[in-house]
Amino acid sequence: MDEREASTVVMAKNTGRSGLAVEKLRQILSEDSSIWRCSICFTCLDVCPRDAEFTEFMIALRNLAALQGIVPTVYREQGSAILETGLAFKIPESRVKMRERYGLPPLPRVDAEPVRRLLESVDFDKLIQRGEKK
Amino acid sequence: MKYLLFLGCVIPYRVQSYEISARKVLGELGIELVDMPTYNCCGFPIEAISYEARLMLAARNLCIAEEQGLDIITLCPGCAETLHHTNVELKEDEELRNTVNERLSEVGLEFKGKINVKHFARMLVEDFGVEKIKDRVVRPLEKFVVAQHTGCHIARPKKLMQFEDPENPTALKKLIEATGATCLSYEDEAQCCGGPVSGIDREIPIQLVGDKLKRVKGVGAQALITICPYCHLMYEGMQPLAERKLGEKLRIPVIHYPQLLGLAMGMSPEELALNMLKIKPTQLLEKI
Ligand code: SF4
Repeated sequence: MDEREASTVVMAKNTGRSGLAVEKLRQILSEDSSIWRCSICFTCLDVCPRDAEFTEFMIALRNLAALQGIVPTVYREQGSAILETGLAFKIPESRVKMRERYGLPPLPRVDAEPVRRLLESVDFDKLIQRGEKK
Repeated sequence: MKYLLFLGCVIPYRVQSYEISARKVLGELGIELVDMPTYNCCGFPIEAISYEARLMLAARNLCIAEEQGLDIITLCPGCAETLHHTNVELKEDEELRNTVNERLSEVGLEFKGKINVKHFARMLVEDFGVEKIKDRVVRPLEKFVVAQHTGCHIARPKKLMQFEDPENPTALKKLIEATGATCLSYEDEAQCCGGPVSGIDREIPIQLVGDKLKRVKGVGAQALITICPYCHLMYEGMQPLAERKLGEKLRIPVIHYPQLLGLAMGMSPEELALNMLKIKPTQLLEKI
């Protein structure tokens, strides 16, 4: 059993059931789970009559999946771009140059170094790397 | 009025028309925009996989703004919501603040909780004032008939944002009406564009875009007005795919609110980068 399987089983055990619960959790935390289809629009959170804050669960479940090495490509790409450049997209040099022609001021400086250090302080780099091994 | 402008990632990457028109119009209104001396991604794109990474990215931006002693305004509601959320969390939760500050000290920063963050449309309504905007209109767009798409994050989550009723958004409507244009109502105006999941499954926004634009067209609106770069990318960029799926033409120009306001303030379509839109609002511009 690898680390990911093990933690799923531990979680399942903590819910007091095994078998079905393990299977269900595995499904929920998988890459093709519906948790990734949530667009974080907060509509359900706002309308819930019991204040269940469902969107927060969606975010938490995805965070949990990511800790187990499940990081869909789009997040891996944006995550790597942020680690490398400080921004979620690598802005091509041509775009930066075009700004002057449009009468726009230069793009503010982006210091990638301190950004990367802050992200490393919460092991975000490892999260992205672990996602890549898959 | 003076604010620090937080640009975010997607606007300089591919929504220049929004930045060009917003800078022009806000400048013309006498609102001074100072650029962040340095910045990074707000954190929204990766909150889904790491709450902690979002916290650190947003916190760094807030610290940089604090050093400038200015409140932040953003053009993207996602940036505004993420930065505001982090600001509130860090101001209210001392334990969390201490943990985050320990990490921030490694790069010479400290969160003190001295500034606030707002989306520019909210700033216009709450701080500048709709009446003052009306005073600046020299060319009322009386023949313009449009619809609004407010987007999710300017007012959601309701408890956090404490702005308008997200189910019945009216702020953008008031801003549009200030230009002299008619803003039509349509069914389910609050429906999300699906932007944040476009990278997971493109079919979701394609479906949502077609759905909404059909209703917009159905009531007779000639354009959709947006205040979010992602919503704009969805309704404009995904529109041809939505048309194919629906098997019918929509051809609804998607216009950034500052472009609309700029027209009413007498600026030219070129100055406002209206020529950079993919679906040209040609017929609409003939009505000026
Ligand atoms: S936030 Fe809620 S309503 Fe919105 S997409 Fe996610 S689960 Fe659905």
